[in-house]
Amino acid sequence: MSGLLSQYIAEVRRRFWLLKRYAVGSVADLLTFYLIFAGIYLSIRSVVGSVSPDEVAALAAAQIAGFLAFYFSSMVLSSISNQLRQEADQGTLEQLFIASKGIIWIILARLAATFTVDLARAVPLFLLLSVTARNTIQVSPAFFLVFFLLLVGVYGFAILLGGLTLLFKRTGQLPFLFQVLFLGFGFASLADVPSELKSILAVLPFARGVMLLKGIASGKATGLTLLSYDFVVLLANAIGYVVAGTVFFLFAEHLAKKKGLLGRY
Amino acid sequence: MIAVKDLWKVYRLGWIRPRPIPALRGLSICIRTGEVFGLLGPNGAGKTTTVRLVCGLVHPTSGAIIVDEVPVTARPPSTRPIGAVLEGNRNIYWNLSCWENIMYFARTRGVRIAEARSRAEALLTDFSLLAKRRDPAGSLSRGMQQKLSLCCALISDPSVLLLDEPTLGLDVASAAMIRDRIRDLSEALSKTILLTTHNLELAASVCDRVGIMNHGRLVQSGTVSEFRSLVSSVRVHLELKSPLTDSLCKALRQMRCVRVESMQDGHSISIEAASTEQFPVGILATILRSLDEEGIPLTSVSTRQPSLEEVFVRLTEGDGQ
Repeated sequence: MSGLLSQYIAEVRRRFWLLKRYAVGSVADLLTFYLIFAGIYLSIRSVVGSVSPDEVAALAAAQIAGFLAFYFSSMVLSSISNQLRQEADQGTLEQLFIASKGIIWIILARLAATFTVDLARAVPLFLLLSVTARNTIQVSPAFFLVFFLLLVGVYGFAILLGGLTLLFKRTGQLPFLFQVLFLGFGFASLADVPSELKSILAVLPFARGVMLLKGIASGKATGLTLLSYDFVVLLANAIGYVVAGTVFFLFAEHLAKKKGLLGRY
Repeated sequence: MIAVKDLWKVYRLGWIRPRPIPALRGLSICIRTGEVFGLLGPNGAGKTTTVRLVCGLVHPTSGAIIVDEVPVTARPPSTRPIGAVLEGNRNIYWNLSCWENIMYFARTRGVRIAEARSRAEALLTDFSLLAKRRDPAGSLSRGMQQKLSLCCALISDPSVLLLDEPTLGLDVASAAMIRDRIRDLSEALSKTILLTTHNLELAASVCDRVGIMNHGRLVQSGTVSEFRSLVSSVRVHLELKSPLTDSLCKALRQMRCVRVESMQDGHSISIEAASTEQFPVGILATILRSLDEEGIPLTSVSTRQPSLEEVFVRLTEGDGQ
């Protein structure tokens, strides 16, 4: 455990060194996220037309919650896969394999570090979103719990994509494809989709979680308990993705070592 | 100590119908503590695969790798006493400074922070990088990046160091500096070092022993002087001012111990023997007489030991599958 903590500290420090060194890029990243939100939110508002102030407040809260979930998920989706590819290209990946307790520990430490740094960056982003939407979100223990489970599922999925990157080195636009999908889930109203689609959404990462999160933020999902169907499905989804992601990553690592894919043979 | 026993590695390339590519075929090497062992060989001989197997980056098909009395697969990577610099300057984060790189790898290897700081200071001083500690690694020269890679590999004070082409692409001064540091690490700190190189001069100057690999096998191993004596210990080299006649050239090429090579303005003749006692003085006398009769003057006559390069070429040429 101390090894994981040590690696986590190393990763957080590395992220902050880079944020500081490339300050302009870091601010630009944040602005990009804000502009995406502002563009989509204002478009939706103009389409929705005249609705009651309560409905506007609920819509704004749901969109802020959905976008925050997208922001955290998007960062982690691109970071694991892209980092592994970049590190394989620059030769540092081999050092991580040689030096660490196991690459999976580095990935876990990196996920935690990514969350820490993203959380620090999310504060100004959240303020900007709230000012733009002229609203904020209702946070409760249920909100945090759902948010946590949503992220756990997405992190498991990111680990799975990382395993694919180890094996195939170039996964192209696969992480980006899921980012776009998540952005859609973040803004679209998933509560009204047909029941057949709902069962598909239940097995996808992010979708079920963001649907619940938006419901809680807008005050519509008041009856959510630890034993409710939605919550149990979300819990199973999160556990499933973490287990599947970790198992697949370890398998990919073993296969990559067997086939010599970590080298350049 | 590194002991490699009957190591086989067959890569299977492709996903649908994997094609077997044998990279190592029963390699066995024993490298003693504090020894510098150089692996030489042409491209594709299996040198880099050997280093990657010892690092644990590649799983062997069969065979054993023992580092400091323990099989390499029996403990997690972070507890293996191995530091490695693979592919020269490609082992560091170019967007981090020298200090940040070393501290990051120290954390990754589980070195305590206070210890890491003092070691990093000492390493940066030793490798003349202290003045550059805050500079991004990407802004350093290739030689400095190579030195920084070594610092990162040494931060956990490993007993075994693996160096894959440590002087590749370096200028003469940087290569000399790296060469000196490798000798220091072995002599002063008793590090066991396995290095791969195409640079025979480097191997001759730093290695206690060298092994020549070809087609995944160790063709020969021994000290550099043993290698030289293996091919020939005595050689008389004649350089001619004008070309040989065809008939004389043909006759010479049929003689035992004689090699005839074409040069820009003429030919050169080498007569070799395993020892002074076995040197064919009669053949030399015959050659000199024939040259005199044909009126072919000599440019120079010299006796010399073959270079490691010549030994290398001799040992690897014609070594089939």
